[in-house]
Amino acid sequence: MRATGKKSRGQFIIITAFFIAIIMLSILPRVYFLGLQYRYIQYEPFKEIADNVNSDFERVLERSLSIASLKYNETFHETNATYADLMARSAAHDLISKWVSTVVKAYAGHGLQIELISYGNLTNIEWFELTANSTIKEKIRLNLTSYGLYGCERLVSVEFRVAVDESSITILDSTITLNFTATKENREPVTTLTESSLRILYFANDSTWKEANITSLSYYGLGVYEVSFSVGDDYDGKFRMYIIDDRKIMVINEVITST
Amino acid sequence: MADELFMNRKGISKIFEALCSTVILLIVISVFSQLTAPSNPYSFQAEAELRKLGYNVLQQMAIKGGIDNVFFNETTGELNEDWGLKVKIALQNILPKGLFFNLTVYNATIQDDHVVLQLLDENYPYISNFVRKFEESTAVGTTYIYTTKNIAGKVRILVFYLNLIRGESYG
Repeated sequence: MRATGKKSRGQFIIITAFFIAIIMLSILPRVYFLGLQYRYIQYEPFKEIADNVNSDFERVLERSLSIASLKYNETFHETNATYADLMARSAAHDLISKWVSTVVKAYAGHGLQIELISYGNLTNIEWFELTANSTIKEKIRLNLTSYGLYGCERLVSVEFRVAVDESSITILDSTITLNFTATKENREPVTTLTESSLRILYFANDSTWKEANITSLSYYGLGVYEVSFSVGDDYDGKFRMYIIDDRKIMVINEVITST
Repeated sequence: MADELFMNRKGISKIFEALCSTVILLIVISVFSQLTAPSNPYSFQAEAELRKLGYNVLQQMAIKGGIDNVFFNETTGELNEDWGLKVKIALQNILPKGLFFNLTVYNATIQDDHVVLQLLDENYPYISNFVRKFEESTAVGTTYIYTTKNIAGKVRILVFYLNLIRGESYG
């Protein structure tokens, strides 16, 4: 009897060891999966990708509006404004389409999906008035399926607007002086215009447009400029201001004065 | 005599039991410690930092107009011959010491209605401060898209692939 009791006490050590082993092995999968989970929740660059796509979308809209406005100027004719509008829109659309394909290709491994939502016409060019503007507006919606990011939306609008203050126009001898206000999207003032950003053509008696000589351009703040230019004796009561900002977006104002 | 022999055998069996228990526990503990070893937090953090750094460097170059000014001629819009050298110097100055980089720049072109990424300049297939072969498996890569300004009617869509690697990774 004594010997049997000793024997069972000896086995107790092994049983205890097995028991401890079983407890440890039962905890093991939980700890192991926690470790795996940690690896999966490591840093993922979705923020950088979304930021890059959004910021370059703004850039591509700027460039598209630049191309569109220059195309409009190149193709515009009084009798065929619709054609110029179509050409301008098509040029902008081509660049944006190319950009979408490039971005999707570049981020192919991240499951990037892009959807563009237009509001009416892609570009809106309203020139030859006292207030002229070139505008582009589009919404981007992107998904990054690899990171579980869906429906990231951003509405981007790019604009260049020049408004001539009619009450400021003075004509003294052959020199015309006027004030205009240049703004961009969100009514932010454009502060970077120089004499080289402007070109002024006046309408002459012989029904041709002639180059005016810009004598001064002053900036008064908040996007307000004063420009002075001289015209010839053949000035026939109207002139056009061609203005290009530092993003190469163009507008043309037409001003009619009494001769 | 028989009692002494019995006692000896009992002692040996106890030692054997203890040894068995120890072996079982050692095996379990070693498996446990192998599988539950924490992931190296330094390597994860370092990768995240490199990715953010790569993105920030390219973003800063883009915001400040550096890409347009360095890469292209301001009036003709053509690619400057020494753009690669200038970019290499800029990256060497911006990035911390002990960090190796490898930058490849592609230009998106349209061929048969499809966008194709072509090297921007065959003379600069890549820009790097690393003389040995750059093992991309150990590097941290950043992709960046930049649409250039409209210079003389030319607008390019560039794709930058910047790989960064810490010096200590190469011993």
